[in-house]
Amino acid sequence: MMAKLRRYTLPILLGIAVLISVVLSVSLLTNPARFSGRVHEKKTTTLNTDETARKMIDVYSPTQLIQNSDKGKELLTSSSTNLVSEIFKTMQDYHYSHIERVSQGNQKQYNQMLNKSDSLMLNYNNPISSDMLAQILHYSQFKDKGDVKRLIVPLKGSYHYVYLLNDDKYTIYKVKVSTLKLKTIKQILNQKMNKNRIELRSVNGNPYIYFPNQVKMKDYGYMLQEQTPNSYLNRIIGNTTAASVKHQKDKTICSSQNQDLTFDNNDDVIYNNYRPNQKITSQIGALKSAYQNAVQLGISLENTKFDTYNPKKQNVNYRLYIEGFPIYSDQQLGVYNYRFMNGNVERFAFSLRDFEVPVPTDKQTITLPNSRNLLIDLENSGVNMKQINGIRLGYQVISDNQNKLIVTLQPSWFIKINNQWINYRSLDTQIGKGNSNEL
Amino acid sequence: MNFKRIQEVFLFAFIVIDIFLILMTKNNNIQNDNTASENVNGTVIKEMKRDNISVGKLSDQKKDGYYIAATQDTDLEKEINYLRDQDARIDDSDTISSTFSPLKVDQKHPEKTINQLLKKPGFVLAGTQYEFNQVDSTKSKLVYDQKAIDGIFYTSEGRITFNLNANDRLSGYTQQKLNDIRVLHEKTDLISQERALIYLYQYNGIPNNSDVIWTKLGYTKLLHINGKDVYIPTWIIATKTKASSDVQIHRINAFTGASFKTEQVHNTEQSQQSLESVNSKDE
Repeated sequence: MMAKLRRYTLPILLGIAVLISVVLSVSLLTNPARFSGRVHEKKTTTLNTDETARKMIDVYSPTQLIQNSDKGKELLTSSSTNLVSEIFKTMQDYHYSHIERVSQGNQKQYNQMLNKSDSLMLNYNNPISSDMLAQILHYSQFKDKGDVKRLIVPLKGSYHYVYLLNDDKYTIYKVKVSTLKLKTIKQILNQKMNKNRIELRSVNGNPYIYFPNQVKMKDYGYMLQEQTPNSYLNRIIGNTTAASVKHQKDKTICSSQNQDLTFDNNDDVIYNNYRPNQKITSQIGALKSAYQNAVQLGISLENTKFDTYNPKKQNVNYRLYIEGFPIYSDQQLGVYNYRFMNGNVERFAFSLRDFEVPVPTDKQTITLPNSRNLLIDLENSGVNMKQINGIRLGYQVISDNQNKLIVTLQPSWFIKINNQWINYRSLDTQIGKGNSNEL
Repeated sequence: MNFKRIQEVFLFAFIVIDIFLILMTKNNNIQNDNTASENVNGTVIKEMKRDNISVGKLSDQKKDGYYIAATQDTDLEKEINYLRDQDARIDDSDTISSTFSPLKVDQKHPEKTINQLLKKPGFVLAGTQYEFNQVDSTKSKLVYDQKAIDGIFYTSEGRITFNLNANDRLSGYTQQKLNDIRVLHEKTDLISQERALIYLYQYNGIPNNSDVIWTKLGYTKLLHINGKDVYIPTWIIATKTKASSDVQIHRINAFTGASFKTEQVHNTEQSQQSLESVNSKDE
């Protein structure tokens, strides 16, 4: 017996040694570190710069998340997680393999897609150039597909597609995805969150979100941070002795050869650059330039999202969003504008103040009327319903009487009339006086 | 050469190959770690080494955190009735001081016994909300910090300090408690431990010839407003110069990387609408 065993010891040991060498060789060959030396280097450098500048994807991600399930459609929001951004970020890691247009100009098919069962809908406030999606989602085939207002992600396991939709011309693109991270998405959706039932109704052929029930939203408090005009002067014009300074009644204008900066008493700033580095001819050009300049100017982009783009004026608007809802103030506070004017001037508008630290409030939850009652209220207060071109939930900035660096954000309905968003609570007094926050 | 001899030669050759492959795998891992840190922050770390600052092993892992509101519990009078088998009093700074007949604890790891005691109703207030803080504990004092939403507070206002007497028996404690803990803002990315240390070094917070003794991530008070406090995730870094034994505690805002002190915001006094910097209890 022992002799037999001894006879087999050598072949067994040899077998084990061969096996170990095979396993080690395979592990060495498949170790990504072996191949990714260079890629790794590139990745870490970007990470480093990301720490100081908000990532582009945070600014250009959708702002609204709607789930369509057997419970109907629900608007999902959370005070502890930016749900829509988290889901959108998982889309960065998808492997997209094919894109095709499935329909255009077919309203019926478009509506069917909007009502796709068991799916998520990620909405932009303003349609965004698909070229920007190509850049932030790392798939070059998204380029030249027009503008995108909504992304639809089916949640059923057998589907491996993402749909890009635009209400204008009812365009639908279908994109094949080979690595849909359903598990991660479901984990995000399993968190504690607020769900408001909604319906997608159509007005003049355009879908809008109708709330059949009252909406409960809580208020927020913020402490603001105020930068000095000098910090911008130094950053933009440089040596301040080279600038000519004119003090007027309610503003101060500082100008040098190719640029000027106007500071008004409300902390609003307008900066004109008469020698822009590049000519802007498209939305993607304006979006990139708006972002790069904001980072260079040192404007805080925390909680800031792309809000609107006006192709005629080449005007890009960023706005502060809380829990996926936009904030509105009478001033420039919370809003950054970029505009490329007359083919040779870049104009920026922003505030010296930004939202620095969230502070506790008295935990007020405000109940807002449902869409039906809102429309009745509007009609009763004499609003011409045909003039309304938008209704959305948002937050009104209310300043503290005692400390100008403390504000409360109070939830409300906002109505767009004559291209201006007006708080429905102040409609009687404010019609025609609202602030469009456009240059 | 017979077949057995051939087998022996092959066995020897494969053992040599295996050793070589094992060494290669190890090497590859080390190299990998090095490339990451070297590319991102390597130059600064090297500079720190040149200044004779020892930092230990640093992590470049990124977590996320919240702005959290909390208030110090000042309504302890009612709650104190809940405590059993002890003599508990409340002092001016809303601290419970309690003594009891000395209890035997695990000789090597007294925290093991305390962890069990914390689960016992009536031993302390909200015992399960506290977690052992090793770095601040000594032989005679064991420190427990209150848990935050997704982490731990690092403030005297949410802390229990247990006292061990000369016979290594548990003889009493002091406790402060935070109430009404809630999230103020959605989850946000934090800077890594490595990055926090580099910021501190760049602010000249670490003198030459010193050691970084420990770093931890905890919620510390950023500001006090309207009777409530705002806490933020903070990299707390303890340093000590090689020449002395004094330990310095530094705080780095884990959202922004800024060094900070707690601010007192005057919201009710019309005359003074300014931010006043005060020394915090945490420092």
